[in-house]
Amino acid sequence: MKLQSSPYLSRVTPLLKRLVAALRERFPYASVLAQDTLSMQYAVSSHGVGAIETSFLTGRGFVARVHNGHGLAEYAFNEISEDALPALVERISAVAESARGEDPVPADEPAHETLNAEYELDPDQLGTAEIVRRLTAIREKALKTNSQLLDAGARFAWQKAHKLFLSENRELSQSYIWTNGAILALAARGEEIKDYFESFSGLCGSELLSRLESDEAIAKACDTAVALLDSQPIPPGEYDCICDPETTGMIVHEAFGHGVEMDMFVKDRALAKQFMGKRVASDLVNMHDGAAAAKECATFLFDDEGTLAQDTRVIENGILVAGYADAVSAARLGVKPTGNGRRESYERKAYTRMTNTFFEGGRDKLEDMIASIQHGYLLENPNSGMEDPKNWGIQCMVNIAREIRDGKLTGKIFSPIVLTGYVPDLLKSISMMSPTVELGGGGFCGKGYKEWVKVSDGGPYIKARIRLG
Amino acid sequence: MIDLILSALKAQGIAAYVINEHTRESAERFFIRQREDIRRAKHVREVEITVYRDFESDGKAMRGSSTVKLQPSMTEEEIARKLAGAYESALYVKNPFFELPDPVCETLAPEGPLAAMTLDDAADAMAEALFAPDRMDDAFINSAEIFATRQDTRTITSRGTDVRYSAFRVKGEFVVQCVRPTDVEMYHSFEYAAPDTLALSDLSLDALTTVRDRALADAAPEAGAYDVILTKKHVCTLLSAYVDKAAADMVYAKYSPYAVGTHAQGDAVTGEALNLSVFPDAPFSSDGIRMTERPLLENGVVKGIYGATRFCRYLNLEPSGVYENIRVNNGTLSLEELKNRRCLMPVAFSDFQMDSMSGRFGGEIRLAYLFDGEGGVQLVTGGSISGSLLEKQDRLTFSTERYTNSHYDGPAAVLIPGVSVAGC
Repeated sequence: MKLQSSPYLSRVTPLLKRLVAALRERFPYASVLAQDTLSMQYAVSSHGVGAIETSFLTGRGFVARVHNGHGLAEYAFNEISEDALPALVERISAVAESARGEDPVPADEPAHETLNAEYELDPDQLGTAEIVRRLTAIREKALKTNSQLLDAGARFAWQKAHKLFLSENRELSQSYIWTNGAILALAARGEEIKDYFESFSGLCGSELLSRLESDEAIAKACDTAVALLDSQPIPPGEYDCICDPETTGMIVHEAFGHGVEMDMFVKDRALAKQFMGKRVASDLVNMHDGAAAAKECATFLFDDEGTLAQDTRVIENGILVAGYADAVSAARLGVKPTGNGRRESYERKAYTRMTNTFFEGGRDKLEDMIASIQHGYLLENPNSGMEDPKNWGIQCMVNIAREIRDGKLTGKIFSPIVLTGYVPDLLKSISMMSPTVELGGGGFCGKGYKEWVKVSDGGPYIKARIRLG
Repeated sequence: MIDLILSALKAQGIAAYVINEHTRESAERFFIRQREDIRRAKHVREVEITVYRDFESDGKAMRGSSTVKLQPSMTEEEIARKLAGAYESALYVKNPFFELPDPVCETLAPEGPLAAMTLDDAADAMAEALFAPDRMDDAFINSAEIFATRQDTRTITSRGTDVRYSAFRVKGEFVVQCVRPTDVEMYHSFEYAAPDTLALSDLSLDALTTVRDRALADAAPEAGAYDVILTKKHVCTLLSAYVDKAAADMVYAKYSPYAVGTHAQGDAVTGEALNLSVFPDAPFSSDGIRMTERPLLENGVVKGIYGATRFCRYLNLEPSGVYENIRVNNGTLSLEELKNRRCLMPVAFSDFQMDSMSGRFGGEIRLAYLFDGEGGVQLVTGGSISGSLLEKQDRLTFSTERYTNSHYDGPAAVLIPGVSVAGC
């Protein structure tokens, strides 16, 4: 079925058009992004049951962007009415008139498009009773798998996003839905608690729940949490490593991807600016980003500045060929925007942000990759990473390093693991890649320590030389 | 809007609820170098409401809940439909019964320096303060974001609570850069309840000075075990593990072994026994509890468990609200004395992390000072530290110098013995 457009946004569209027209009478450029997003998250664990609308994923409001002939200003608001329209125009104008930037007037090429995304099952229609029942069943099944578990839990969340972009020449509308789910397992020895999660995501409805109910996924989460109790800190050093698709995704996104966000080029904060057209990875590596590059949680028709989604090829056979840019940064750099101007919500500024970011697959079999390693590790279950566009330093943390000796997994687990080093060194050391690309969209991406947006990332299994600690 | 919501709650027979109405305003400045990049402002209003539903399950009294957001643009019908949906959901949220906090009625008038000035003026004053020290040849502020904000909150509960207060903040972040001999940058953030221009200028000057050191650091430390000195916000991050473990929800779920009387640092503390309390950053919790400073650890022994109403009630504790700000009264050696040994003092990480459940901490080093114990010091960058607080917590030594930000008031440094460093 198709996700229907927001009745509220349809209702206020005429008023918003009048707002844009009124602002255009005063300023060379004006646009409005309207948002009406709904979300819900459910959780079952020993804490009990939770059913809450996620605060930063739910919102209904507007942001007006105005260019005063010199620079840009924005005003975020969430109340509009016929009577209040003149006062609103004055408030926005006051902010716009005080802007002191130095930017070209934004392009406003004509576009009129609509997206009503397809999905199978509506989580709203499925209802809290059924969702909680199924999450509870997952938890109960998990707790039965291993007596050493301290706790097990299951989570499920969805967002229905409705957005409308209006300017003098553009009218874009989109409605899409994504869902996330996770199985969590905790095991304790004394005061130390180890945890493991299996996460699932999709550009879909509540049909995702069936993936959480997989016996294999439940057993893996629980068994791994218990196995982590016997894990050891890894002897620091540089090793031959195989990254699972999730870990590959973290390297693609955190270690490299943030470095080609082109608002960082504008500020001279990204080393990548000096590497355009140069080798940054082994010739096996091809990288993409784009809301039109894959179907995952960051797939949409247009970004939060009204730029249509694209598939940007970032690395081609190891050579950095393109970055991605929001509209303002693109104008400053003299390049075309790539549909990467994204906001946490209408209340926040748009920045250059990633969408679906991934490496293409290669030709190697996973078993051949493992067999090629004399002493190294299979890295799994990434849990955090931090960007360093200026110096391309890596900080990524994974939960599990499975030891490989003489071409075989030994069953020994090390945890937790910090990946460090210099990004191009790691990417240039990639010597094998498996064929199948897997993307995950279970997490949110921050710009520094704030501005959370939904992203997906991934790739194939890769073999690389990595410093672990 | 509140009247409309109360009327809808009554019409639907929803007898237990907590309503939080927030009005948020901001003046925002974005800079590239010292040039204003973009200017933003915000004025929005929202209501978050938790509805509770009482029922029995297997002969036990239950109180389910569901939380939803309501917008001022919603029609009466939309509000009624959303509340009905939340009330229906609450029926399937099978949590044991608990009582909401006792009623409080209080209106606090906006006060403080920020209440007496416009948000625009506050943002501009802080921008001027931030850039005041930005006069060096080789180090400069690359970019900055400043947010002057006001949030008016009204909390109403079905038990009769009705409290109102305003919170003002000036907060932001900035990146300092030094281009010689190596082109490097460092990230900093700030948050103040008043337009503390002197503090921000000091922070800016310190950041510009430190980034010069990072530009000089060109090698990672040798791999091995080091006595490590964590400083400032990283001390706060490390100690946040104790705050996490003293939370009622963690105790209730048995994720934390803490109870009043627990020896949090073990039975044989040879380092400093912690004296730690938490303090609020709002006068009331989201369900209307008056928030005050609460001791959590005294001489390393748990003195208090704090937390949200539901979990406090389950543990037969007086509900206290959720806290994140830490005050620590420790410190026996000066920073100079702490450094008087072979040790590594990281002052900047990519992202220093503390996992309170596993007790593990770690991060990649952006800048560290490597002291040889004989007066020599080397600047290092790269590599990472990792360790277990559970293994080291009985041997912590804190500095007598203190560090304060909006979330922490305590020793400026802590010495942790024998931490694993992955280096060159």
